[in-house]
Amino acid sequence: MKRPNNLKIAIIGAGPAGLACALECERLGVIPDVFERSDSVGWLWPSVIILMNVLETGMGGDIRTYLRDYYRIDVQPQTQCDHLIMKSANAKADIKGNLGLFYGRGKSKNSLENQMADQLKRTAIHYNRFADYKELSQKYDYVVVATGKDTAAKELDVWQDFSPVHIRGGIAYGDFRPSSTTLFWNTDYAGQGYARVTPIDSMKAIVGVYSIGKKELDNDANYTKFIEYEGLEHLEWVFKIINPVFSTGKVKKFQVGNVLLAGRSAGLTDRLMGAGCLAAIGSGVFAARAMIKGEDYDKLVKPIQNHIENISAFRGIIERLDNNGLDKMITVLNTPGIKQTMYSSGINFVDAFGSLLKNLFLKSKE
Amino acid sequence: MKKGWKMKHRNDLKIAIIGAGPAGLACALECERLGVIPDVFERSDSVGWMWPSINTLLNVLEAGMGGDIRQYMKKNYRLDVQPVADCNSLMMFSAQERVNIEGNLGYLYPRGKMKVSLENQMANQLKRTAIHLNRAADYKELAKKYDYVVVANGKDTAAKELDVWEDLGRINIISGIVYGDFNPTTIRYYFNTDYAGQGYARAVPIDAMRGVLELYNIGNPYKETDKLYVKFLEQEGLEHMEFIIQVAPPIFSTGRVRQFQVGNVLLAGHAAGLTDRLTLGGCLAAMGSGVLAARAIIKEKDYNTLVKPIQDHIERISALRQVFEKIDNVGLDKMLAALNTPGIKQTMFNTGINMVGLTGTILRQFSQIGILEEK
Repeated sequence: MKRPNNLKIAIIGAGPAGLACALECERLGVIPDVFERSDSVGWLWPSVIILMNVLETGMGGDIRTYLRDYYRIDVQPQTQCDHLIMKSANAKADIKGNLGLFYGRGKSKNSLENQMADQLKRTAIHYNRFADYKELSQKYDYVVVATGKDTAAKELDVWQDFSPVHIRGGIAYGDFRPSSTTLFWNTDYAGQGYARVTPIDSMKAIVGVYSIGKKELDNDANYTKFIEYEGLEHLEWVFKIINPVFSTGKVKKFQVGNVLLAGRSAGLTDRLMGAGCLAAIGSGVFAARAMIKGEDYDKLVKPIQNHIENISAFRGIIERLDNNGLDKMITVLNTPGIKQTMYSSGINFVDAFGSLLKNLFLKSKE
Repeated sequence: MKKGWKMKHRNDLKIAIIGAGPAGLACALECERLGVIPDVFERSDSVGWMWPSINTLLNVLEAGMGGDIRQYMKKNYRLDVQPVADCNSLMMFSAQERVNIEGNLGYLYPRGKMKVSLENQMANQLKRTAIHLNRAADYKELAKKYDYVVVANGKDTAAKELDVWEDLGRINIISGIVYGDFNPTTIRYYFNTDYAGQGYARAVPIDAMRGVLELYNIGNPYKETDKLYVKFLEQEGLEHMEFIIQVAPPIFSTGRVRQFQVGNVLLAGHAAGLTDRLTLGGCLAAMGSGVLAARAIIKEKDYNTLVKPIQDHIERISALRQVFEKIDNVGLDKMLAALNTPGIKQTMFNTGINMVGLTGTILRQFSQIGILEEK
C-alpha cells in the first residue's frame, strides 16, 4: 500500500473548493498539483459574497469561527454585515445585528481566492492549464474536480439537473455603507429570484439580479427594469456584466473511481440564493481528508449536501409567491419578535423560517 | 492659478494627475523624467481596467508616425512598453467577402489587471510617484491646491464643465471574454450593418486559449446592443465559444475639445476627446497627450500647440468614418473585394504611405467604383 504522503493528487480549479482542498492536503502532508485554466487566481470580475449567519446557524452561528474550527481555514472578511434591508414591491424589513460577513471575490489582493492562495506553502498552481479529469485520473492517484462546472458530473452520470441561474450584474460608483446590503424581492424583474446591492467599499457596489428558475426571462430588459424601479439610475456604472448561465443540480455520488467532485462541480450551490462558497470550501477540505486519511468522501460531504438541500427547499415556496405574497413575507420578517428570534438568537433558521413561510403561503392562497 | 508661478523653481511644481490609465501614467513618467514628482489620484483600487481587453495598435493607421509604432513611442515619448504579441495577420469580414492581410501590421497590447498589461507595465516603471488608489479626485478642488492638474480620467465631464467639449456621438460596446482556440497574432474585424450598424465587431486573441469578442454598436439604440451582440455571435459562428464573462461598459461618448487647457487644468487622453471615431482607439493618443502635458507644464510650453497634431491625426482617422455612414452591406462587400486586390493590399499595408492622410482620395475612389452610394 502506498504511504499517504506519496499520494499523487491533482486538483482542477483554483477557486474556493480547489484551494481549500490544496490547503488541507498540505496540512495532511501531501503536496498536490493544482491546475487552473486562467492566468491567475480569482474571478475576472470583482464580486462580493454574503455569508449570512442565519442561513448557516446549523453550522454554529459564527461563520469565521466555524471555518477555522472545522476546516482550519482562516480568511479575513472584507467587512462585517450588520444591516440587512429586504425590500419587496410594497414592504420593507430592516434587520440589524451581527448578521454575517462579506467576502470579496476576484483579482483584488484581499479576495477570498487570493487570501487562500497566499496561504499555500509548497503547492504549485499551474496556470493557463486546461486539465481533463479523465486523463489526469490515469496519471494521478486521485483527481479532485473543482472547476465550478457540471461537465464532469454529467459525464460520470451522477448529475441531477435543476433550475439554471441567470445573473445580470454591474459594478457602480456611489455612496454605500460598507456593512449594509439590500436584497430585493420582486417578481416583476427578478422572476423567482432576487436582486441585490452589496457594497465593495464605501464608493463601489455590486448591483445584480439573480434570476433562478426554469422560465426563460428577458434578463437584459429585467435588469433595466430593476434599476429603474428601485431608483438606481443615478449610479455611475463602471461596467455591467452578463455572467454565463450556470446550472444548479444535485449529485447522486460525490466520488466515481478516483475522481472526487467538490464545490459547484458537485452541485453544492443552494437554489434559494445561488450561493455555495462555504459548501465549496467544506467539500474541498473533506475531499482532501477522504483521500489522505482513507475515509469515505460521500459520507463526509453528505451533511453539506443536506444543508444545501434544506436551504433549497425554500425555493419551492418562493416559486409560489407573487408580489403580494412577497410583501407579506417581508412584513412578517419586520415584526420585532420574529426579527430577533431569527437573526439574533441561535435558532436554526432553516427550520424556523420554513414553517413560517409555509403558513404564509397557505394564507395567501385563501 | 497661483501668482508668481513662473518664478517657482520647476521641480517645486505641484502637479496632480487624475486617473492612472495610459494618459495619466505616461504623464507621470514624463514628469519624473523631467524632475517633478506628481501626485496621481486613481478612483479604482488598482491600476488597469477591471476587465481584460486588448488594444490593437496598427501601423497602417499610424504611418504618419514612421511606420513602427513601438519605435515611435520610444523615440518621441520615451515610453517603452512590451506588446503581448506582434500582429501579423488581419482578417476582415463583411457579409459576403473576406480579406486576409499579412505582414508586420502592428502590435497587440493587453489592458486590465494582468501583470503584463499596458497599465501595469507603465505603473511599474514609475520610480517615485505615489499613486493614491481609491481616491475620487475633483479637478476643481485640486486646481486650487496644485500648480497644475492633468485630467486623465477617461471621462468627458471636465471638458463639458469647462465648456470646451463638442459632442460627436455615442458608442455602445459589449465585450465578451472567451475560451477558445486563437492564433495569438491574428486579429479579425467584422463589418456588418445588421449587427454593428455603422460600427464593427472584432475577435482579438489574449493568448492561444483566450480571446475578446467585441461589438462596437454605432447608430443602433443602446438598449438593442445585447440582442445585436447575440446576432453578431450567431452570424459569425462564434456562439460555440465558452464565455467567461460579458461586460458592457457605460455608453462611451466621443468628442473633440476646442481647447486642451483651461487655466491650470490640462486635459489628456479620452478626457480630451482623443479617441478616433473609426476604430475607437485612443491609447496612443492618450499616452502622447499625457507626455506632452508633462512637457508643457514643466518646460513651460504651450500645451495646445504641442497636442494639436495628435488631435489632427485623430480627426484624419475619424474622417474615414464617413465611409461607414454611407455604406450598406453590399457596399462593405465591394470595399473588402477591392481591398483584396493584390496591388491595393500591398500598397496600403506594407508600404509606408500615409493612408490616413488620403481620406479624400479614398472616398472619391470608393464613389467612383460604386462602393459608396448615397442612401
